[in-house]
Amino acid sequence: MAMLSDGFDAIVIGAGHNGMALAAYLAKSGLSVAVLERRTEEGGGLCTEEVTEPNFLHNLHSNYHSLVGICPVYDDLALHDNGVEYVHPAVQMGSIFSDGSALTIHTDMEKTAASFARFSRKDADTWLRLFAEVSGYLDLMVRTLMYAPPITLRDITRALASWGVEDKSEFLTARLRSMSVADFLDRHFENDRIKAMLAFHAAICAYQPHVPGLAVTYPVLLGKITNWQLCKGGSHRLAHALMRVIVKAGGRVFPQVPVEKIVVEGGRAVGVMTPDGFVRARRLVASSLDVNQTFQSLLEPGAVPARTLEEVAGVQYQDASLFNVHLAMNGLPRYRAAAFDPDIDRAWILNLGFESLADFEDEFASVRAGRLPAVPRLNAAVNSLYDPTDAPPGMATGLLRVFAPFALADGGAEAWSREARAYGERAVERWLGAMVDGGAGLVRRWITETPLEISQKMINYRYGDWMVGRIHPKSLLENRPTQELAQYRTPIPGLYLCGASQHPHGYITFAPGYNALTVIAEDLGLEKWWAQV
Amino acid sequence: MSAIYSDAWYDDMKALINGSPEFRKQAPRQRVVMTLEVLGDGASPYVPQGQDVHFLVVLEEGAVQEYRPLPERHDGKGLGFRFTAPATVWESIAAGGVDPITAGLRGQIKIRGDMRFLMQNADAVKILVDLYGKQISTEWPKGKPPYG
Amino acid sequence: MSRTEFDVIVVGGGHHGLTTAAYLARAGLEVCVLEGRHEWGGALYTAEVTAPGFCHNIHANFMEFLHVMPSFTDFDLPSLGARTIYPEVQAGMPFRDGRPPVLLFRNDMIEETAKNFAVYSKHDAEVWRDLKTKANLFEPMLMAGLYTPPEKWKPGDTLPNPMLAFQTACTMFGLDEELAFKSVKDCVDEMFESDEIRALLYRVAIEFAAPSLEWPGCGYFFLFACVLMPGCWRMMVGGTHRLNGAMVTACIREGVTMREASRVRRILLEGHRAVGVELVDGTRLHAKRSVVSAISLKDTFLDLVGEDHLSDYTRRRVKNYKDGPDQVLGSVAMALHEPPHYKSARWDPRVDQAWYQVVGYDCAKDVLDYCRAGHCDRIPELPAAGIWINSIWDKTQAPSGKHNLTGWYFFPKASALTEAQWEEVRQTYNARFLALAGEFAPNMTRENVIADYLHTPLDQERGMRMREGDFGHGAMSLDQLIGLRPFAGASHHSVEIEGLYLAGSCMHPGGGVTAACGYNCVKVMCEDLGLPAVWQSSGRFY
Repeated sequence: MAMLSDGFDAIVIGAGHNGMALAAYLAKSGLSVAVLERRTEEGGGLCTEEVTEPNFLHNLHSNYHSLVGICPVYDDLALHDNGVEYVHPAVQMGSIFSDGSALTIHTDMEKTAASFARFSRKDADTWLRLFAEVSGYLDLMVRTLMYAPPITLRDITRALASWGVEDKSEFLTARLRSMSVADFLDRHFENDRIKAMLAFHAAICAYQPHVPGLAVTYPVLLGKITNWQLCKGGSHRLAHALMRVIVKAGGRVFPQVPVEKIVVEGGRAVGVMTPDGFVRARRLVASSLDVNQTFQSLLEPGAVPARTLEEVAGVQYQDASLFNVHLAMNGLPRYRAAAFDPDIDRAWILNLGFESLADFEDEFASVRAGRLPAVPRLNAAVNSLYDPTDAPPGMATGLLRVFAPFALADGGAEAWSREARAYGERAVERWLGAMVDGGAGLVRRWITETPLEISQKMINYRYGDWMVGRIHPKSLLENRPTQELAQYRTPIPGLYLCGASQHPHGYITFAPGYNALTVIAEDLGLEKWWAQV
Repeated sequence: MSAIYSDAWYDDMKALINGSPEFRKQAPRQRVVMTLEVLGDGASPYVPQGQDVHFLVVLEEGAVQEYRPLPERHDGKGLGFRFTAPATVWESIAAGGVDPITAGLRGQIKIRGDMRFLMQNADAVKILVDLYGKQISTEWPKGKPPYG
Repeated sequence: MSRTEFDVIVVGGGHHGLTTAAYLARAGLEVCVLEGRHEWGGALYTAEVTAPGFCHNIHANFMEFLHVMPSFTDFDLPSLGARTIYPEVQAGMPFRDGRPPVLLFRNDMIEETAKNFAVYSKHDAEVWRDLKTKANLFEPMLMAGLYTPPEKWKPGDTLPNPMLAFQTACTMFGLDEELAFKSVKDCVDEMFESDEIRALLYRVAIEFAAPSLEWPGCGYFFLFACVLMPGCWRMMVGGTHRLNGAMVTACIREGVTMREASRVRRILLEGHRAVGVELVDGTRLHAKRSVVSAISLKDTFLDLVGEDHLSDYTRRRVKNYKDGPDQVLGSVAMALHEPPHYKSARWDPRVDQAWYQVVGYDCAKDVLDYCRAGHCDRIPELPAAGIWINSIWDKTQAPSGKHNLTGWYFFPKASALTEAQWEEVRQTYNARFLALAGEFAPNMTRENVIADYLHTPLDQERGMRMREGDFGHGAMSLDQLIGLRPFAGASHHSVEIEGLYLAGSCMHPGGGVTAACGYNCVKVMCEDLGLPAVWQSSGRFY
């Protein structure tokens, strides 16, 4: 049987979902493929661990999967037949406001509209029109803007202008290019809390509401607002399914085999160095790592054009990371706001703290300043509501997330070890404060995960950036990560980029891996069995 | 003027497109193979429910090389685009009652293929859909949409 | 996911379950293996429990059977990612006062061990050389005993007597057969005169799940744990979970259907025949040929089958199966800036490189008292531990330049303390160990520790379903070994329920990463079901 040292047709660096998906397609196309992973476990952000107590399954990174049923990879690779199960929570998300009122977003849009209508009838109607419109072109937009190598924003806007889309749509206008998500919401909605709820949804997708220009892709985001799904038994099961597809197709996944160098001979990538020695890649090497690792650490400086290195050095990361609290609980939370809207107790993801668009400005300003607010604004998710198997019977697993600076104003990133416990306590207190009887007796044990720890565990997430590159008009589409590298090819023949550094971005989209596949298939002349028109 | 889905009607379409200097100017040079799928929806008198009509359009060198009906659904080999919609939608477009871009935006036409190519050739697409929707004169022997 | 019928359903995706599944699939059966947890491998469990990038083997760590394990070669696990390291210095015992360390080397370095032992006793060096030479000679035969299922037994037959095998083993080592009847301590004391060497050997014995150091009738533990095993220890590159990764890959390649997060609620019976299982979510899966249980004995029969379906004999024997030696595992994990540097290293620096380091005892009696605490339901006063710093050998297990310490305390059984008491232990005991370790290795200070973690027996019980935190899945005492494991009527991998087989660690040869319980079950099943003997591989006589 083949050993590592025999080499492979294709070597994929990094066993995150993008790298594994690419490997699976290539293996199914008949190539011999190995995925080499630095960490002890495959899956990258698909990382589920019992960090509080045995039998409490915590998704440390990826938790919400919003492209199930939309992304072609699930069907192409038959992931459901390979052991992935999803739950589609009926109450997708909600907000609890300081006056005890609450908003809920349901898979049933009529119910969402009814919840909105308690705050503004007009906004509820706008919402229904907006959602209906977006639903019409969502599939088209997703396939164009996500599951295809990027075209330029200029091409997109020219096409929309040529087709007169602005006259045919209430919400798609040429001005989106210069608008922020907050501008978009201000333009179409009147109620602060509805705006805050919708901005919250954007923010947890890393679309900071006040960044100009991000309104361009906001309709795509909105279209998926009812499609947030939960991987049953923990996100890591998706990694298991990918692994099964790869192995069944004859490929291999090798965790704990860190790549130390990408070997370039005669200007071409020909393999990688590992602690076990050289592993030859007969046809290609695909890196799913961030570009800083790929170009600055894994390649010899002489192998990379100076201009490429210069541009890679300029790649920017998000200025907001996450501070996580993982909780083991004796049961499900019950909120006081259920008196206003009983469905809030069933909301999978909860906004607790953002009540207006101004709150987001305030939040991200304080994050950029490296400050921790006295009262953290929370994003709380209780997976056990919809997947009780993630905790012992009758108990529950909880996740609190707070936007947080990677480096604190006082002491930098290292200072997190000093602040983590106290900040965690404030987060837990705020959450319990919204519950009936202050959540007495609910919490068993909790642990924190700081931006620094995130960046240490998932070294792709530089500066704790789980999107692996900022979400900003200057860093999207044809500019992600740099213009030269945006099409998944590199200046080094045989070396491709297939990770979250690439268009469209991080998250469980599979899109960077899928798009890299498209490019590789073109270069290698593979028959695209997966893209039958 | 030819009856919808007649051989002459396809020829008319081909001639109309190839007669457009504007299209010749904007159209991509490379070979593009497309199929249109017309699904019987119970409302159209031309395509019975459960049956469908398929036709093939091949562009190359900025001109239509082929524009003809297919005996059955295209198997996808060598295909660049597949446009699928209920017969009523297609026929309403041909009758000038529905804007094809709007139909696309509303998801009434399912588009398979590389959308980026369509966007990068937006002007040619625009000319093509205008010709289809506004220029062609179709005869409607069993009545014209909107169907009662 | 819709498939609900298979030839064989294996309950439990620990290494025995995976082994069973892989061989049966190779024999041509459609096999489905079900794991209750979200992750495969049971005690082949590696996790970053202290800090990012620090991999800790919270359960299994010793890999002493790989060189004889049939599945390791039959499925070519090394090529599937199960790569091993064979550390030269297998074990080291430093001392608080900086006395010379006791060091134990690999099987191919017996002379080095003898040289080290001679520092304390030339007699002991000679004894070790003699025992080890014989052990290396007889090892394959003794190991073969692990990979052979006990004979089938039915009521009325003469009860199997495991002692006979142990007496024979003593003879092979040129020892008096009486040693088989003695306690581990008595054997060690009879053979070795140095207190330091005795201390190390005592500790090694409990590491291998000796039920007690002082119970008579445990001489076999002296032979297996103190003589045979040390010197065979290998470690898995990347942590023991990588052995699981390779097994999982092997299973997929053999065509096994793998379902994790699928806990079984009951085993379905039709009359006296097992015909399938029902999952906790109500899904029913049918097994045309057999159901194999690779989980614990009591979970299998009391929870999944139900005692109403058992004969009086089986019910009695299952209910009275003994869980646990009286001292079970608490796992300590620490993320370190630098590995311990022992005072004793001034005599021989290789103690710092020892793979297994026994830290905290000054004499043999310390180890005895430590174990006695467990027998009295007490936490040991002396917070000593056996530890590994795997990152010394395998840099992938810790961030660059840093080190991962993992080790075992021996604590009383899970039920001996309340949940609150265990929480107290969890929060205090590592600090006590650290203070003690600092007296042996002055660099083991609070500042050297980046983060730490303690996994209690209660955690082992809850997480791994090891009752009482018993890592052997049932006491490995004379009354529960070979033909008596788990009891005579079940030792041939089945009881009176047709089509139900047992492949967990409750079977011969017991706990430990042997893959033998699964392998032996496959042998029995191949014969019962008329399958090709896929386990037979050229050149292997077991």
